[in-house]
Amino acid sequence: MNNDLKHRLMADMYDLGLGRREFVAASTLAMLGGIGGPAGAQQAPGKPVKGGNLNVGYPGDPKIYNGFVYENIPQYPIMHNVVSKLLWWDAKGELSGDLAEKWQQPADLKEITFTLRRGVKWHDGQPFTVEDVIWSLQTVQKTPLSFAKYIAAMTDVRALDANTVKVTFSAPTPASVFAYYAGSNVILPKHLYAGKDLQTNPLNTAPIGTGPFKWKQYNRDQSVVLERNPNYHGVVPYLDTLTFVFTPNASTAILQLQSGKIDMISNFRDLGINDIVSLTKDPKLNVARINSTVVQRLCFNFRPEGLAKHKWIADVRVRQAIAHAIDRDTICNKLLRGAVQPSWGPFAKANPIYDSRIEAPKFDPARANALLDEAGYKRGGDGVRINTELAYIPHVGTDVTAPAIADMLGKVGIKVNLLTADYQAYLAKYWLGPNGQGDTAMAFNIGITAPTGDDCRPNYDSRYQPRNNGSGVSIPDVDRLFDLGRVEPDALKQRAIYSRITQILSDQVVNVWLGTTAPPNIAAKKVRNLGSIGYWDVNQRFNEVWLSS
Amino acid sequence: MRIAASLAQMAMLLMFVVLTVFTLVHMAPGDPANLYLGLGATNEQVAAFHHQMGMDRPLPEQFFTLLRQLLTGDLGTSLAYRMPVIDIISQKLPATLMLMAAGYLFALTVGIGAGIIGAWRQDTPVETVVRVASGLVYAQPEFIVGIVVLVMATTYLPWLPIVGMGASDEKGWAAVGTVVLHLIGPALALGIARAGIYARMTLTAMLTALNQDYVVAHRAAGFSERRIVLVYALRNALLPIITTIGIEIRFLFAGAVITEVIFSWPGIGRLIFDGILNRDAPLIIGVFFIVAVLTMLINVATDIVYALLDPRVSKGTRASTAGPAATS
Repeated sequence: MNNDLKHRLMADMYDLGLGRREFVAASTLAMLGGIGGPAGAQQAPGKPVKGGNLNVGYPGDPKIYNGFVYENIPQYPIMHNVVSKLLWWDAKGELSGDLAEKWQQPADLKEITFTLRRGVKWHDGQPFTVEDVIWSLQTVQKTPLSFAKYIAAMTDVRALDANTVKVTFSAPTPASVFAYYAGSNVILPKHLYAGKDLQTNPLNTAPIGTGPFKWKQYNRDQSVVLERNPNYHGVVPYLDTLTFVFTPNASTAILQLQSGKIDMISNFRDLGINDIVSLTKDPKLNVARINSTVVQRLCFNFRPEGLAKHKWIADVRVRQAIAHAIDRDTICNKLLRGAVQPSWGPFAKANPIYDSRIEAPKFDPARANALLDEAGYKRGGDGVRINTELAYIPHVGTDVTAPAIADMLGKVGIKVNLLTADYQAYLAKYWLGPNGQGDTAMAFNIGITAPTGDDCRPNYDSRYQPRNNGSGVSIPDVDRLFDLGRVEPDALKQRAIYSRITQILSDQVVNVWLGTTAPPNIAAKKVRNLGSIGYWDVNQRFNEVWLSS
Repeated sequence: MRIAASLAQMAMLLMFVVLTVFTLVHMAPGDPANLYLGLGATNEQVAAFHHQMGMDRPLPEQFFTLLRQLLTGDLGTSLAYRMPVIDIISQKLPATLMLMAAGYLFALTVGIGAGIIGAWRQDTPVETVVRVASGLVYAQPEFIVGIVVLVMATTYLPWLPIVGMGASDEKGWAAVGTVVLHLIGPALALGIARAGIYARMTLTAMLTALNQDYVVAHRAAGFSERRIVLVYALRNALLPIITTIGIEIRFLFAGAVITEVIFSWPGIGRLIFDGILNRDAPLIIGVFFIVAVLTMLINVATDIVYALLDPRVSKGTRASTAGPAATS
């Protein structure tokens, strides 16, 4: 690893007097200084009031509420209020216990011992036990779901006593994997699932968990109603009920919010930039930016079929030229009006391992032209050097970003044909396509890049091809550094490892990163303590939210 | 013999619908494995899924397997819902039928009523207003009307719910009231354009009927204008409208898809919209199959109603130029 980098990191920390918490807090405030306004613009929470129902407009019904059967991001904000994990990223971004009260690991990280909370009950009144943990871990390990990969090295899980469980691994596995955000990382009640077909269990639409809210009512494609769990092992919810109202499009949700039919909207990825800006200015509403785990990036197709069809992709000078030709500040701050916070690198800006000293290539069309000339891509009679394509799916702002990028690249002689499709077609044609279908030169993609560096690994580790690492990035040093970073117990050393990864990916211009984006939580003024919902957009719990009268 | 021929025709039409939808589903890019397994699955797991679902078999074999299933009433299992397609449709179809019925009720009441008034007041500004308004209204697509209704309801009728169908834990008249309230917006959106069509058709048909010789004869015989318009002329004017209802049913299903998405109404329109986005092939094929069956049944019902209204049809006689059904 880079000792200079390590020393620089340590020096910075001392100069600024920053410990990890302070660094995280400073990053958070910087993030919230975007269009949502500074964190101080939100109302001070005041004294919590118990009672009431919070109606949250939500983009769609996940349909299956069992992470062992199916997991997707729309599921998480609902399920995280009903079920629990062993560990959790709390509202301050710290790794904390959820069902585990404490945990211990030896230096080699090849085992972990969890001391479970006592007196926890499932929502049906049955006691939570070590058997539930053992069964859950053993079951999910056999599935093709994402958490199974995180615990792939698990060789044994056993109870040491009624409240202690020990997990043994064949390879170092950090404790943070047990806070992994995905739906498959969940502890389910063995007495309700074991011995039954997971796919058809009726609890898939009426889950039983140990979370702050209990499942009360499910109106398919309309709403889910959760009610307070008075026996919750954390802060017992102030709300009587929490209702997720499924509204398939952001426009309808905004109308509902402005007319008072719902109190909050959350997770709408088709929320337009102008909508966000106008809602931010509405004096009846609060906008709460939440730290995003998602980075918008322009990916190059390094797969064999991509390189065969678009030879220019293999030339780093051309990729550098593209990076210099794109005015990221104009896109993020003017066109997207701050909805995307500029960042550079594979990690989210609020991720503690984000290294702000590794800078993006400056917007410099002259430099871009020079690089393209140097690489041998001269302008033709029509001024075009390269004819290429960029695929994207509509997401927060991509319908603005993609044409802007095409225009900017056109000015340096790279003619871009824009291709758009719905999500499934995009995956099939542009991201995952086998047998030569996946030969599109460039694609807009979003990647999960937090809370840990390891959460970002599937985007760049060659062993995650072709599905997660759909652009075919394959750099052995990066794979090796991800392995090291995962198990490095020293925070400074770990940051240095991930800084090195960022440097390598940046030098190679593996992606042109735009920035991090998170659809904000927008709520009526009566909804208080929005900041408690979560530190990351994929980890949200409403137990500390309350409604003023 | 005629019934057997009709049934055979229906069977062939259904098979054509299934073949068309099957072909389109398989031509559309997208792998259901992404929906079922997620992006984290390995290629081996995806291949195993394809094998389990029979997706690695030749397409003709997949199609005939599907036909065999449909013949036994098995519409397959939804990849997204993980439950039998027939069960999901059973849950959702009543909501769509309710929406279509409400839309039709609004369209027929307002449309036919406006057409009658326009014809009754022919050669006055009232007729002109009905003619122009009906033309303007039926030119509007459902998604425009839906959004306008949504915005107007939000702005001027804040008490009117605009999303969903209401909670399912209410009972009795409270539940009925909740559903009716939730139905107003989407039914308006679905019915407004149709009301324009029926208003224009009724106006034209009524004007034609009111200019027939038998109407002159009835006036000369001293029948009241109200009776002439509402009993004799209207009965003849309704015939083309009844035919149109049967033809319109497929457009109403299509309109229901858009309306249900805008208003988050939990019917099969929303179901098919989500199914297509998710590439949930069993769900898509199952819904289209059921919609095709329903459309055919409604067309048969239309023929029956038509025959009841027009004795010439039921007796198999050809239409007389002089003689409407106004001989009663």
